[in-house]
Amino acid sequence: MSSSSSSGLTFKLHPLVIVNISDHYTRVKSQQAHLNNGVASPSSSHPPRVFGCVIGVQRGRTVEIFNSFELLYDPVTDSIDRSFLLKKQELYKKVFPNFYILGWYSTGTDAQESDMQIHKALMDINESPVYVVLNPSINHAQKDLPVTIYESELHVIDGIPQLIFVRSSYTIETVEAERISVDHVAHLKPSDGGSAATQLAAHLTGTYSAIKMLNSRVRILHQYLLSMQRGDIPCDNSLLRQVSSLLRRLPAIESVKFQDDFLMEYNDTLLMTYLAMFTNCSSTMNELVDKFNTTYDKHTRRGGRTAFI
Amino acid sequence: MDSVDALIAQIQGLSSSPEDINALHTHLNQSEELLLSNVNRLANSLEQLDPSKHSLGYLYLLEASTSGPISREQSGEIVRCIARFIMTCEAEQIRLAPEKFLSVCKRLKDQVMLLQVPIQGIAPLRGAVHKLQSSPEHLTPLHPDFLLLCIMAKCYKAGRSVLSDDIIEVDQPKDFFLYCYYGGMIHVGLKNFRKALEYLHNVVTAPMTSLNAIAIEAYKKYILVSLIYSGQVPAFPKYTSSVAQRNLKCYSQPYIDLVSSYATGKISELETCFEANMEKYKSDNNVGLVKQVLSSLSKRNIQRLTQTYLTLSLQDIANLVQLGNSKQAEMHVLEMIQDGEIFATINQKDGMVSFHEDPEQYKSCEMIERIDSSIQRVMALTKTLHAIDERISCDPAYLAKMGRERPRFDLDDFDSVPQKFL
Amino acid sequence: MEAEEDGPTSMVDAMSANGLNSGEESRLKPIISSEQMDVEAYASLYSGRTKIMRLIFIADRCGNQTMQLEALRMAYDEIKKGENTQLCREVVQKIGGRLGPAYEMDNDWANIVDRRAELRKEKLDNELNGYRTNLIKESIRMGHNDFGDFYYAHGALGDAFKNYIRTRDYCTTAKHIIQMCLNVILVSIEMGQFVHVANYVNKADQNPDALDPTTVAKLKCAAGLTHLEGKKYKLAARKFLETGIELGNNYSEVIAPQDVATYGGLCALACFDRTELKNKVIDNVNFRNFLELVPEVRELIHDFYSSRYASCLEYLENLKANLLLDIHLYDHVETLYSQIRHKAIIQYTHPFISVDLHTMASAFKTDVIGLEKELEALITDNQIQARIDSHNKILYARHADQRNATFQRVLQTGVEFDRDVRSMLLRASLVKHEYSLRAARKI
Repeated sequence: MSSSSSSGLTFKLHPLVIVNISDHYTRVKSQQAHLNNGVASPSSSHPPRVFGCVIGVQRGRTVEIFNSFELLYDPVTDSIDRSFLLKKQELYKKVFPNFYILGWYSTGTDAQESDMQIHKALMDINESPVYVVLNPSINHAQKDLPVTIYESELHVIDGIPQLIFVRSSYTIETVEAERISVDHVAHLKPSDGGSAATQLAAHLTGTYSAIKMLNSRVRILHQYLLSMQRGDIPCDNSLLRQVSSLLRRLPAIESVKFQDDFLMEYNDTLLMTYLAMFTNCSSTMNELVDKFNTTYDKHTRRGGRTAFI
Repeated sequence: MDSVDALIAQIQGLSSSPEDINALHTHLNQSEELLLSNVNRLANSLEQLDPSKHSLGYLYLLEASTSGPISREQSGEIVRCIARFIMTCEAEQIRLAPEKFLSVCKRLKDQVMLLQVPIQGIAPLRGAVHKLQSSPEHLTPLHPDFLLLCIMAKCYKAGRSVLSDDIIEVDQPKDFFLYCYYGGMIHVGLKNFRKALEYLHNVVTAPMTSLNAIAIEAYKKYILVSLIYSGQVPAFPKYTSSVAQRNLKCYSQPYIDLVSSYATGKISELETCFEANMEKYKSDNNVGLVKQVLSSLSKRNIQRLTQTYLTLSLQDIANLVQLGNSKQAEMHVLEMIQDGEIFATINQKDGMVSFHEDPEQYKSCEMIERIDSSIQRVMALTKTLHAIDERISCDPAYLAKMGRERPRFDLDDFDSVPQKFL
Repeated sequence: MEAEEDGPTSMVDAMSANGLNSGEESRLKPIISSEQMDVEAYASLYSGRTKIMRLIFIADRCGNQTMQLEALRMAYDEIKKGENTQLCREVVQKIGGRLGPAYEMDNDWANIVDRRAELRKEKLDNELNGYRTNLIKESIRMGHNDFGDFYYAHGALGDAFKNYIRTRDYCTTAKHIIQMCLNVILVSIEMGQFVHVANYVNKADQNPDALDPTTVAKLKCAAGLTHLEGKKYKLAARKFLETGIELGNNYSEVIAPQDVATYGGLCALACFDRTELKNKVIDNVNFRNFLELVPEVRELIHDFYSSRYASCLEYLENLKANLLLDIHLYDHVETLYSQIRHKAIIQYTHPFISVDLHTMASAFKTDVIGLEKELEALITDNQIQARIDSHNKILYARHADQRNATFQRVLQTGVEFDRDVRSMLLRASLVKHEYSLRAARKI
């Protein structure tokens, strides 16, 4: 269903749209969880799909998507609430006279068959709407944004001309205000396996990966030498010479004094790391205690709570 | 008669997949009276079931069959039966009916105590604890029972494995109090006073709305262990409940006297206090601990000497610490050297003791490992804290209260996002 | 006299028992001084009521019959010059007829004085009432002032105090205020109520322009005395050291310049560290003038500074007996002495890595056992960083290894932190449970 687009349009996406979609999705999901109230039911394992419209400006071959708003989806008829859409469009037109409805969005992993209905329904507003899909599942390994933009194209399949979704590439365009808010959101919580938030962490990560690579390479060499010793592999003298010269380059100091000083420094660094760790932990604990006290404080007092926990 | 057989057939049939088990569970709930009315027959029916596969059904039958009064001859058999069941049952199934499991285990404990062989109950109950726990950080009502059996049987080491889990989730305050109290006693038995103090401290400072007997007993032991470990009893921390702060001291007057005589540093005073209150200590079963307090005083005095003297004659030690003679002093010093409490060498020729500094230089590989493991621990703790923090942030009760406070602030000032890494 | 032979031996006892005997004992023991205090010379330094009080005090405290009688005689003479009949009766009782008929209660004199007092009092009363009706501020003030003087002369200190206080409302110039303050201070010191002294010294200090150097000096002395009474030796030392030489003999109703030197010197020695001692005392040109008056104190301070502890302690001992007869210093002597001794010991051990206890004992004129006990007390108190080798009787300095101490503390803190956080989580769990129970019950 998805191949690369050939329409030649360049898409520019603003971060506001992405934040809007993700906010919509999160809200619906947590409200649903609250309603279910923790009762394990099979339906909750399927994340809800949310739908909405994207609006923006099209200038020549460039389509710039600035904003978005939510739409009511009727799961019975499997279509968008038309009147609501028109009303919203009118309201937005008043505030942003330049923006037109460029297309619609939804969440999910990929474009689905049923989406084509909605897509066709929108075609009367915009001849060639775009379809923005946000993938809400968190994948730490993925480097790119989980957002894909689809266009519809008429392709001939099995002799029948059909509208299918084709993937388009896009770039992110940021306005100054958006940059600040994105920065703010990014600092909320450094993800566990994600990119480093500070320079120090970046530096240490680099050093760590370098050492890891060195370690694995040395291990390979070691294996190689062992097998050579066992006789599994024929002796290759030139390689042996290279290995020996490598070894001679290593500054291996073996004196007792070095060992002593080295261990002392190692211990000192570890101690400082330890101190830093539990200082950090105590700050987390502090926030936790504040939140806990707010939630479970039996006396409603404004300011100045006694030691409660 | 037939209904029981029908029930058994059902149990055998429906014990394979999770949905079946749920159905079986509801069915079993409905057949409770049936089971209770046919108690005598159940023993035979139990033979037909396999505890490892049909755990849930077996559990119900077992519970019903032991619900009535049990005679002495039967109790031995019952104990073995329950023990076997616990060791072989399947954890998933019994977690569906935790109260039944709990009552079965309690019956085991009662029987074992009646028969005065607490040691028989230890292994089964330990298995039971692990099976009932949803995670190693969860406290079950079985924990205090298990620890009680360990104490009665004096098998402290067995208790240690359960105690080494760090508990974070607690359901019932009573379980918690008993657990900490028994845990403290076990550690005292293992002579690990630091951990004992931790447990007893938890009991004393736990939030409570009304005073309970466990806290009082725990406070008495807390005073004694505190004296042994650090030589003084710290004041109540701020977070102790006001109930505890006001009332605990009234019930433990003889121990407070002990504290004041300990503070003088003189063995004679301590001994007189001990004699005076001997009856009360006996009635609280704390005589052993009080004796340890006495010996700890002389040890502490000797330790103080290590701070001021480099060498000291045994006779001088005996005089300064008020021990009887130099032989006693030598014994004490030897004991302390062996326990690692002081670093010294005794020169028997001229009766001199030389005190040394702590030889630990903090430069060794063992130290590295020690610090590393501490770091790992703190990291795990931080992760737990983060998880709890997130959970509370999404808690509707918290959000409701935060929302209520919002209008008080200016929109500019109010920042609900913690600025952690800016 | 027989006292002199006994003198030196009792001195040695007193020395080795230094700091270990409590102050009460020395008060009960008769104090035998090796140099007889010259009561006459001492008394000539003072005037007015304080002279009498000091003489009575000496008579009560010294164990020496001759000195006692001498003091009482002088007191009687002094009282006769004044108008305090009550005090006269007391002194006569103390004399108990030992000084012969000339020192009996002279009732005639007493009656005359009393009657005169009555008349004067009436007159003053009438005058004051007259002034009050006329509402002339200055006269009312002077009237109250006269009343105060009158009561003071007759020993009714409370009434004197009240009257002096009353003049406050009628003071118009700064000079008046200062005069009032000085009067109140005088009465309060006599009464022993040093709280008022402190207040009124502050009050007087608030008018710096009207103060001439003598008054400044007087106020500083008064402040110093307050601190001394309150056992704040460091502050007392500072005040005494700041007293200007203009004091001279102008404040003999309260204090003599010799006293300023003694109090200031001793307190400084007990409390200041070496730098402060050098700057504020030894290099202090102003204070040097005071120290000239009491050469022993000067020598003693210099000896301490140059580590000649033996002679320093000797001077101290010599002075001790006389100081115990001083009305302001007597109950502070023991404390100050023990503090000075401790400082001496600490200073002695400070520059060395190891000290032989025998040499140290001879430097401090004590025996090794006693010295060891003193050192043990100081080490336990953490004033000296050292350890005693009891076998060889050597004191070794010990410098704590910072790195090890840090490691220990960090590991300890980590363990405690871990324990505390886990306990907190447990308590949180309990609280949450209780909360949900309560919520469930409410529904």
